[in-house]
Amino acid sequence: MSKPDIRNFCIIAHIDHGKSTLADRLLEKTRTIEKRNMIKQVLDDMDLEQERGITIKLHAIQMIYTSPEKKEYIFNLIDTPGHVDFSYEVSRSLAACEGALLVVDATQGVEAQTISNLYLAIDNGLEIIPVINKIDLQNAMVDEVTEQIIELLGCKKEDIILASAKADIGTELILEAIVNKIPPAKTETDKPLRALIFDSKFDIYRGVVVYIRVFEGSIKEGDAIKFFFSGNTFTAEEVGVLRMGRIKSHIINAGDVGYLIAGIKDVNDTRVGDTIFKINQPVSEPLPGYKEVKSMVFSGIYPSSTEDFENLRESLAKLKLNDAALTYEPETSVALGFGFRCGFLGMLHMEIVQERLEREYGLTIITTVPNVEYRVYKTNGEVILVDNPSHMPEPAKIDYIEEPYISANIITPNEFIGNLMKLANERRGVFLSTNYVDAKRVDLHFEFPLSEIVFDFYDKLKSYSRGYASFDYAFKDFRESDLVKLDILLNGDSVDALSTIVHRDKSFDWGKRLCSKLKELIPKQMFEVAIQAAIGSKIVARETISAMRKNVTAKCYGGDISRKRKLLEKQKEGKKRMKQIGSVEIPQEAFHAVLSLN
Amino acid sequence: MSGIYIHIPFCKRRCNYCDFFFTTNTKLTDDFLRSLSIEIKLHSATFPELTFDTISFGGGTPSLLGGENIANIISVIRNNFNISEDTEISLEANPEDLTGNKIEELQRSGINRLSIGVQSFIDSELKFLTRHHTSLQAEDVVKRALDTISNVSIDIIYSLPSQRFEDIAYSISKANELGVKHVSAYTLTFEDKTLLTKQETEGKIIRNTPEHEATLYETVACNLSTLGFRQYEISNFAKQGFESRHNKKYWELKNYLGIGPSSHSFIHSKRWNNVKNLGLYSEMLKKDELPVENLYELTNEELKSDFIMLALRAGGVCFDEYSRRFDNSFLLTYKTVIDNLVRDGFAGKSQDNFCLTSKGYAIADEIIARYF
Ligand SMILES: Nc1nc2c(ncn2[C@@H]2O[C@H](COP(=O)(O)OP(=O)(O)OP(=O)(O)O)[C@@H](O)[C@H]2O)c(=O)[nH]1
Ligand code: SF4
Ligand SMILES: [Mg+2]
Repeated sequence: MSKPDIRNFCIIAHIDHGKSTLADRLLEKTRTIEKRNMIKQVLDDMDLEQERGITIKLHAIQMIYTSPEKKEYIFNLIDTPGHVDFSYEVSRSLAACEGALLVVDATQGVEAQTISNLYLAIDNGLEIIPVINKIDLQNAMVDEVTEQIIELLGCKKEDIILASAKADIGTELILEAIVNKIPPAKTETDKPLRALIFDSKFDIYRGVVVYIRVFEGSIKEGDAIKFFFSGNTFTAEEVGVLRMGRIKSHIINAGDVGYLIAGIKDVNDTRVGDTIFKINQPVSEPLPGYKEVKSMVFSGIYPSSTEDFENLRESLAKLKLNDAALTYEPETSVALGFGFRCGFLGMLHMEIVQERLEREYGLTIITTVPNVEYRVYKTNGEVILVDNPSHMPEPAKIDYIEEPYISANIITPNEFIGNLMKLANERRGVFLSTNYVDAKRVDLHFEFPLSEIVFDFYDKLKSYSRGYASFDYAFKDFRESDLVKLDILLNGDSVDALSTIVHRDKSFDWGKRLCSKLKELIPKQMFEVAIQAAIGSKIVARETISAMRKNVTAKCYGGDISRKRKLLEKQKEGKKRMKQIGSVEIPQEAFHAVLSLN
Repeated sequence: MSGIYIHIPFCKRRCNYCDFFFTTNTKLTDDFLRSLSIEIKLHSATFPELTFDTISFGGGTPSLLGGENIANIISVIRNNFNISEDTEISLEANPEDLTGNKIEELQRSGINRLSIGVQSFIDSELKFLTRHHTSLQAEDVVKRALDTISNVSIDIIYSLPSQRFEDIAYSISKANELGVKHVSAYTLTFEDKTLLTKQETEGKIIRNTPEHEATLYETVACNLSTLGFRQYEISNFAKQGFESRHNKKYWELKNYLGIGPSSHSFIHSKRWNNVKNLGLYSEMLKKDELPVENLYELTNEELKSDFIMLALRAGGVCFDEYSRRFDNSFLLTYKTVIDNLVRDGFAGKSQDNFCLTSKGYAIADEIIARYF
């Protein structure tokens, strides 16, 4: 019996161009999922993904495709996220595939992550199948988008599939193109096992589950295996393929994708990008693996109540299994106690991690103002990296400070160039060059300090371009800047978790706005609270919150004490979400005051 | 010593701010009185160990009942419970009901304390509160009540929308001039489903700012204490020896038995309430069933926190009482909190007691939620 042909591919695109919806159609056509069980973007199986309508995680799933000639194929599909903050999920998916469907929204055309994800796929040597999606829409610009894709890929018009994932147009053509264009996976089962870990997660019943692509050899239940980099050894307890759930298959052969459960209890034993081999068939070379990702944004995460610290540590470890781009290290704050300094790829990533910690792990956490990482040259010749403003050495010990710069591409219709130049100027951007995508759209190339684009740049970009511009960025280098540390004092005590690093030119204005924002966010207390902003020992702004004068229900409840008790319990609940700093209670939102300044 | 509360669930009309349980269908009075007797009798054997030294008629409007009815209820109670010699028997009355020789009638029936729902001595305010008496009527009734019963309290409602300080000061000095012995002063609150709240949502009236409300509260507390009324609970002020013995049962976590629909009870660490539906109440009693719901035994922790909460809202935590009840020291458990609150003028401490000051009372909810 000949083994079925295997095709491993992923779907890549700019955010919202319809990847997950297209995956729905493929799953439906191949009867991987019954129509009656179908929900929209069925692979987005996290509550957060469904609620927000975006993909956050890569999702691998296997389908059996029967061609019109009645030949069976195994398709291993990986749906990927489109948002920049999750690009690490995309790059890991690519390494497990031989081909990619590049989806472009017919109403939007080529956008920033269309290009960046395409380049990633080309770098990985993947075969690209271009698909123009959403052609059912009135405002589809099929001809223009076709031109853009031809320009970008250098392909022929006939190579591009016109489709609508929503209206199920072109699905058969896509399935056939996968068979005909994407190279079949190599099935070198006779070689020693080499399998790549591309993802993992923690299952409360089974411990660590790893997702693997077997490149050579095969892995069976009972095999004694070893992880190349971590050096740990295990016995494969269960292996199988990924359908709508995990299906045991007892063996995974070269060319295929599946999961492995090996009694891995310690979540730190697994690392994405590691290579698995058999102990009795050692290999000398690991698979290429992955580049370490570079965190762009850092923020402290602290448990709301100190006794949850260990719980938070375990939860972070489990979450990291499923979110390889997350980094964390223990730190302490005078104001908040023991917690972790966490690194994220962007603000959305940060938000998602916070929400997952609260939802999936039932924690109540406080997060501090996010910031980028600085390189500080001290007067004694030492060079240190500072990812927490409160660790900034005192000014007298600093020779100079460098901040990270990124190189950014903004794709926009011509008419918004002027607006975007203005925005770039406000954000200390350096304009480099322009490329024409087509007659109506340009690709602007800039360099920015990372700190200027990481927080609210995206919203600004959208509002300056009526939603049309998109952008993509990558770390460039560190450059010297005139930066100062801005401290916030509450009743005279500096609150380390509220310190920020800002450009000197913006510091006064920043301090003023921060104080007045905090005044809005911090509720009245039993005492007057003075809020001050300071640079070194110099106070640059001040606000006062007057003391609370009445907070009591002076109503007769007769003997109905339970009602009174319930009201009080509610107030106490509210207080749990506050952090006590000195004598001042600060609500969680206050630690993010900086973010809502603009 | 324990207390008995009797809920009389009838009013002529509903005042715009009120969310208490009652009905305006006074035809049900006889049926209700029969049910009430059954309830009292059903309870008679339940707590033989308790002796009661307060009986309090509340509502609704107990003054809608005639003296005979009241006398009757009191006698059923006396026949079924251990009632102490010098029991405080108080009754809430609305001024418009105390006409003719009603006050004498009530006195003859056994009432020895009257709490009169005056609310204000200013006509426009009474009108705003949809009350059915005038300020002159109120003055007259209070005078006559004092002549007959002497232990007279009045209710005052303050913080009416854009109320001026002189308005509330006027009502207070009027009360003092008349010679009342006790004042309960409540903030006007906007309860769900009241006409008042509806008016507010429709934008017809505007609530006072917290600042203004605070100042009015301070005016009330300060004026009353200047006049010799001691604040012995957040909303209650009394001349020496005229505190409400019954209300103190609630605040000192003493046993009290509620009778009548929607009344609340607390006995031997258990709380419960009677059903809030007159029809159901009577129906159950006809079948000799107690109309009880939400019966719940408090844990030691809950008792402790209720004890502290209630004590802080009233006369303070008595250290001996606390250690007797909970077998540990209040002073040691809350040492830092106590010291800080005393230092900052929110509370005072004596040899045997820790209590809030007037400044502390004003933010009692904050203090309790934050520290206890
Ligand atoms: N009209 C129309 N709408 C579509 C089509 N395909 C997708 N959509 C809609 O476009 C939106 C985004 O679709 P998704 O499938 O979630 O897009 P995605 O590329 O997976 O998004 P991310 O994973 O967040 O990057 C949804 O509202 C879909 O219903 C299509 O062919 N026609
Ligand atoms: S008289 Fe008292 S119980 Fe009756 S409606 Fe008015 S406030 Fe409420
Ligand atoms: Mg998606």
